[in-house]
Amino acid sequence: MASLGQVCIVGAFALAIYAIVASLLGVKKNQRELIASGQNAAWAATGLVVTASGVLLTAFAVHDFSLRYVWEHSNRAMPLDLVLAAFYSGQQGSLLYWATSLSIFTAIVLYQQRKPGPQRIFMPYVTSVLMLTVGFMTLLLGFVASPFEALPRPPQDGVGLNPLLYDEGMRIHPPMLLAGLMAWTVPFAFAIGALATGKLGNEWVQLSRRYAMVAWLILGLGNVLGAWWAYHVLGWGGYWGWDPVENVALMPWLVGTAFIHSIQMQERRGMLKAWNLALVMVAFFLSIFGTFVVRSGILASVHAFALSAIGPYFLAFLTFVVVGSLGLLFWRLPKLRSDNQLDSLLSREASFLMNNLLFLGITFAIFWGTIYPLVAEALADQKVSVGPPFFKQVVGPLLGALLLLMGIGPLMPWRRASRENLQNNFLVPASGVLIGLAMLFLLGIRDRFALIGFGLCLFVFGTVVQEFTRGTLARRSATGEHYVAALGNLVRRNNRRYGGYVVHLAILLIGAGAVGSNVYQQEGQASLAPGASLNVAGYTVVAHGIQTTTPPGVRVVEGLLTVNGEDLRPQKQFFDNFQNQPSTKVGLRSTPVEDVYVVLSGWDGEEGAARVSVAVFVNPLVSWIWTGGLLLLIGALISLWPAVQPATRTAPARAPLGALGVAP
Amino acid sequence: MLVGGVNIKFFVAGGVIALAVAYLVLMGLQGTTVYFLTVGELQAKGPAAQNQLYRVSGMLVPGTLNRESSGLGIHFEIADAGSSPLSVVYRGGQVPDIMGDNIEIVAEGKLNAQGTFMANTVLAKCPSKLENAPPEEHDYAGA
Repeated sequence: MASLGQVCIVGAFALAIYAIVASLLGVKKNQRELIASGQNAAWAATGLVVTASGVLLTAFAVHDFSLRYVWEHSNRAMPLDLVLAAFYSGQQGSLLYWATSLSIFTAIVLYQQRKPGPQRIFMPYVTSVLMLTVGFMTLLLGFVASPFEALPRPPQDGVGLNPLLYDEGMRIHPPMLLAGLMAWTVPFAFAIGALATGKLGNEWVQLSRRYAMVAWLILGLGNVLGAWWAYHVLGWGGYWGWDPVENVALMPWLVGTAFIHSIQMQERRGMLKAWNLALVMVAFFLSIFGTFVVRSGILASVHAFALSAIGPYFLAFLTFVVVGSLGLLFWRLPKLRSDNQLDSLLSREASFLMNNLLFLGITFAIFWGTIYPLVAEALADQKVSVGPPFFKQVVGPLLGALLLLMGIGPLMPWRRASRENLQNNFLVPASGVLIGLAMLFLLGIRDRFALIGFGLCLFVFGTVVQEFTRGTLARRSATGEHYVAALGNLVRRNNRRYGGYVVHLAILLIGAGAVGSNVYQQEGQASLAPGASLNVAGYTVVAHGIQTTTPPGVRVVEGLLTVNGEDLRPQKQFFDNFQNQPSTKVGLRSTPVEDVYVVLSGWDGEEGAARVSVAVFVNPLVSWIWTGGLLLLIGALISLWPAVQPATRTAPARAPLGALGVAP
Repeated sequence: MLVGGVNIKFFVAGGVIALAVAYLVLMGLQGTTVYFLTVGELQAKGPAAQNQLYRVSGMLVPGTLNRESSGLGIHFEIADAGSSPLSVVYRGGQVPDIMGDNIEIVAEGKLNAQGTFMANTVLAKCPSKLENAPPEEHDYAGA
């Protein structure tokens, strides 16, 4: 088993190197067979990496504890799905998962772009970049951090999964997030293809847009799922702790969002060509930086993985791709002139530009806050910690400005807005905001952050509703369709635009949820004797002792509570193999308005007679964030849906002017 | 007015955003950075350290972890090699799951005039992190 996996990895590494050499040499010597051979090697490398994953998964499924990695991360008491999920729970396995997901992305790209066409000129370079990254991963897997390391004497049972990972979220959050980071390699590969070939027009943008959207979607969902997991498992009452590992996964997503917006400038107006290349490069650099931070243990984090040998390799790879791709960009800079100039600050172009600067500004702030402890220690020999207050204080106002632009941007015409445009487009949303704010004020919302935040969300909401209404009415009057059909066809025929608006709605739901839960969270703690109660924000929590159960492999202590008469049972779980590391299961009652979130923090005494210590949080609007995540998925899928081809008929060839006896 | 082919007002608008980001980052770092000290380093600062927000790390001194009779607050002592113990009081409610003897604790809070560290956050560093100790250190021979 171990040797089969190891052979696959080393073989994949050799094939990846061959694919790079053959592709580049094929271009240089103009030999099609060599280029084709390079692509075949990439297919074969993909096959071997996927086989290696299959071997490791099989080893997990049959509890082959002769593999150290299997022994370390699973045991016989775990349910099968968690045993399989343990695949990516450690360093070596997640490296293999990365290599596998990137190989599969490579295969998808090779398959989709197999037909002859203008895109074929990029493919040798695209293959090379993808195989360079796969090669790097398989180099680490084969020679530095192998998941196929054997144990001299196979033990009877494994250590098992860390209790923190023992959760439904484990099945979906890590694979999404890790694949989302890797997926940025694909648009990056097309950017390198454009630079290498010198074909710097719209081709590479149109080719990579969908791949970038998919990467953006997977990474975005990975982040939302991570927040959801943290909320359910970590028990501190929140969902986003500005932990380094969270930050490094957010940064490529932010830069990617900027990219998805700014490529429209290139497609529509031929502007920002160098900028778009730079953005997708930075998104890729930050993804690799993310994998490096996650796996190197260089930054202290709740995800603290052991310090490892792979850090220097990641740093070398990162340096290589940064220097190499920026070098290419500078070399091509003279060919990257804009076709058009910016005309006015009041235009779609200008709002995209501001949006980009804000996204990069937020990314820079998060980056600086994340690495500042390292910088301070290296330069000033001072250990400092930069926590959530920094990020909230710095990122909060910038996110607010971004929300404002999210409302303004889509209503701005290209080139230059006229006075009538502005009146026409902003009158309704702006009055909507004023009415909405007045209602919020009457409902008792007085906090100025909440009023600003909710006001911005209302503004975006107003602009999106206005866009949908106008489009539907215009279509109805043009075609005579029913309202519903008009709306459906409007979205179907302009899916990219209206899918984007749905994503904007998703973001404003997440924004409103973040504002509500940050400003209006209430909490209380108490140690409650049986029958005693605690009041937090209108909820009465009554304790009735504890109940201990022992399903196989674990001891579960439940706090027996009622919240306004309904049962709620927060838990602590003590796994047999991790006795000193209990894990928390939060008791949660969620409504669209607010969540009651109860953590069992301790107990004293036996079963029904025990005193129960609880921490109770009332978190308003948190469920809006999860709804927003779902809507983000829907909106992105609408945008990605293949466009409706307009019905066309070939016009009869026009006779040349001379043939009609007219002087040209 | 054009500079390098671009209307100067775009440089101004971009510059405003860049300056705003720089200002927010600088102010943010000044206002929110918390110095990270060992118990020994905190004690070396003497009374000057009182009422300033610090993060202090040290090992939990065995046998010193106690719950207050109300059941909410906890008291404990932390120390590092060569320092005398620092007593810590924490009434935040969310006691880390793995808190125990000889676990490395990180407490954020302020030192009061009596020399007690009043923590508002307590974190425990997991000794095994998410990786396990190598098999040599586990007793699996008899399994």
